[in-house]
Amino acid sequence: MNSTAVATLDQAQEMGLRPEEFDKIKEILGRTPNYLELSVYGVMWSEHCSYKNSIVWLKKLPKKGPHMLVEAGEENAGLVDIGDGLACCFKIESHNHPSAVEPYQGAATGVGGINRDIFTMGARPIAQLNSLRFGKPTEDRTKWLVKGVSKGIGDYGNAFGIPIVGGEVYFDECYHQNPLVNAFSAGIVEVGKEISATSSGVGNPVFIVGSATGKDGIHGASFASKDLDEDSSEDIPSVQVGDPFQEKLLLEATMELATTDAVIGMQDMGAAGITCSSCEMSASGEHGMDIWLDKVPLRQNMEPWEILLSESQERMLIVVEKGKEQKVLDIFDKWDLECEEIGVVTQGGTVNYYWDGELVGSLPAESAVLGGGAPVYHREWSEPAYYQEYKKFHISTVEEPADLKAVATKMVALPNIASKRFIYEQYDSMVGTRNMGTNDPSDAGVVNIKGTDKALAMSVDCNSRFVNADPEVGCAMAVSEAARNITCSGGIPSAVTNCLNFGNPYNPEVYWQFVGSIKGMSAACEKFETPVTGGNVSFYNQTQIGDKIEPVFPTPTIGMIGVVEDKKFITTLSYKTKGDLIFMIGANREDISSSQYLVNIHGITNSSTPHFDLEEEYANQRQVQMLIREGVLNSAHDLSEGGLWVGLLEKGFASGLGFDITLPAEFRKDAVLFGEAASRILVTVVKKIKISSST
Amino acid sequence: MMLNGCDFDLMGHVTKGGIRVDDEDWGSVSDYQEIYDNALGATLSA
Repeated sequence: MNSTAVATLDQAQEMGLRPEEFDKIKEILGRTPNYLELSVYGVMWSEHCSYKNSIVWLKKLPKKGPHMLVEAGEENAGLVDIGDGLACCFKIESHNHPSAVEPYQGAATGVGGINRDIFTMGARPIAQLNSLRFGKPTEDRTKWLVKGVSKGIGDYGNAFGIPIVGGEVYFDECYHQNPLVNAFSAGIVEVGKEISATSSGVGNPVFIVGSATGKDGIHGASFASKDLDEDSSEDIPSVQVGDPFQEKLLLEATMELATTDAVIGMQDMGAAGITCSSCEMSASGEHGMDIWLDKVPLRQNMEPWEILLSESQERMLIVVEKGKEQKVLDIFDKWDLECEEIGVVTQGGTVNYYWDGELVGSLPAESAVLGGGAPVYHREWSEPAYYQEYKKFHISTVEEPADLKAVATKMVALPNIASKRFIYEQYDSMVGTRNMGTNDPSDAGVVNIKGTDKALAMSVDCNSRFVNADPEVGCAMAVSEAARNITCSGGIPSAVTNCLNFGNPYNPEVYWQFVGSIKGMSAACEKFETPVTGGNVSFYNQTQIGDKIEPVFPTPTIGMIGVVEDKKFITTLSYKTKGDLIFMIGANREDISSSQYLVNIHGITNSSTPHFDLEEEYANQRQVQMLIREGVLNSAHDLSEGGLWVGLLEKGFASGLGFDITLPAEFRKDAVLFGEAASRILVTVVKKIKISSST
Repeated sequence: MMLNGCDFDLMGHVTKGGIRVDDEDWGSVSDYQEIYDNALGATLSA
């Protein structure tokens, strides 16, 4: 394709643009774009880059908090002040579509991309988590996906050298064709030493650093912004190829660069490659940029538009202060990485792309980016019929099994309850010396902040069956569960990142799920004072079930960090000593709605969320936080899938100790044992401590 | 210690490894751990 040939509407539509969007581009430029310019808008206005169908609602999420240094949308990732002159930079992102067609590289480059988002800001990554969802584990496709995704995460993450300290894995047929692969990374940076993703200073040189550019990942952002179907495997060239050893070099070079005074701004090249970084940095800094595409180091012969759209991994764009170029060149030479001056910051807001001295594309940077000229849509939504139908479920319609012990044994083997060690043992959780949960785990991953009394707790959570049943309540429950894991580990919830995985936003019922989730997330984040620092939206996730195309369960994965202000408060989940008393903070309830028990033992999928009350949840967590700080508890573990029974067992698995319990007589035993009502925490105390209620 | 208005229940106590529910013997933690640790791996490897 000739980069400078006049573009057509057909080409625009092939790139995923709508006719009215093509008209808008012509209006912005005052002419018909050429193919290269159209390609720029095609990726920048894709759902993946522009958030055009979600930004209206994302803006409603709580962003402000007492410890926020960088709020959502300001930089590559949010930044939270954790005291002692340090800040935590953290984010979660999806790599669902690439993983669906090429699970190994899809997952691996997801890990690479999220870590680059962190160290681009000058923060050294210290921990990773992931949230994975697949179809039924008995299906061959699921086995192939699990094998590829877990190996991709392990190979990339292990080589990169950052421990994986936690995560979650779920199985449901709704993810059969469209797995969800969400990667989370957290890093630490000294306050004031963070690097901005902006461009300024007319005449400052622009460098591309890291790997050479190839044809991998071209149109990757557009690929991630359309439905998966039977032809999606033909999009494998849209999947990037990762090199963790190159990423490690890039990390160390970036850390060294951050200690110099040479950097004006830096941005990772993820989705849409040079296109995105040149436009976003320019728009952010309210400057223009001239980019000489023929100067970009290449792995193969490429057209100018291909160079712009390539999503080759392990690359950054850096704006350097004029006169300090040699410092940058020396650092990247030392780490044996490409470092090439490919452009210059200019006056005004126009980004010009050149090839051998000829102008091959020109556009206002602001017109291409989110928050600028990118389209913003208000989508319609409608409540699906199933929502009210699910509310009709009542436990009285379910017969209590005669042999609960036999059921209890089956529960332990269920895919969403059984240990995920088959997967996570492929990950290096011990590399470095920061993971504090290696020998005696907590509900959240706990990471040492060296040189301070503090630790960081982090968790990723979402029970998507709950969100599907009631998006608003279910998403509030996801935030609450993440907070509960932080609380049980000895931390105080601090801030949230989210990865919003949904079906096609043009389906009004899917959009209803999205809107409900945002409302629920907002309410819970307000309550826990955990602002949303950023994240990612992944629409167009769907699966064919029988003859029908069904969206995946709405899956707003919550990534949360919390600060353990003193390491002595770190609390693990295991029983400690024979004779310790087992208490449940929170109420027993006769409630089995949407539980693994109801779905898998009784085969009933049509029920609403189990009991949840945000005020009760908050009060219970505050109570546990206080008890931990008073030194009363010697273990804490939240109840989630599998309810009380599985919670009791998991505490025993971690220590080899057992339990002797008496169930409350006023409720059905199956509901008490296997129900999944929220807001409950199992704690243990030594026998001499008496517990009583103040009310 | 006092709990400020939160519901709570004393469920029981920690044992050396045995599991009892309402005075019935439900086996031991190690019995269930064997299943818990290996069920998913067996399915995905089959």
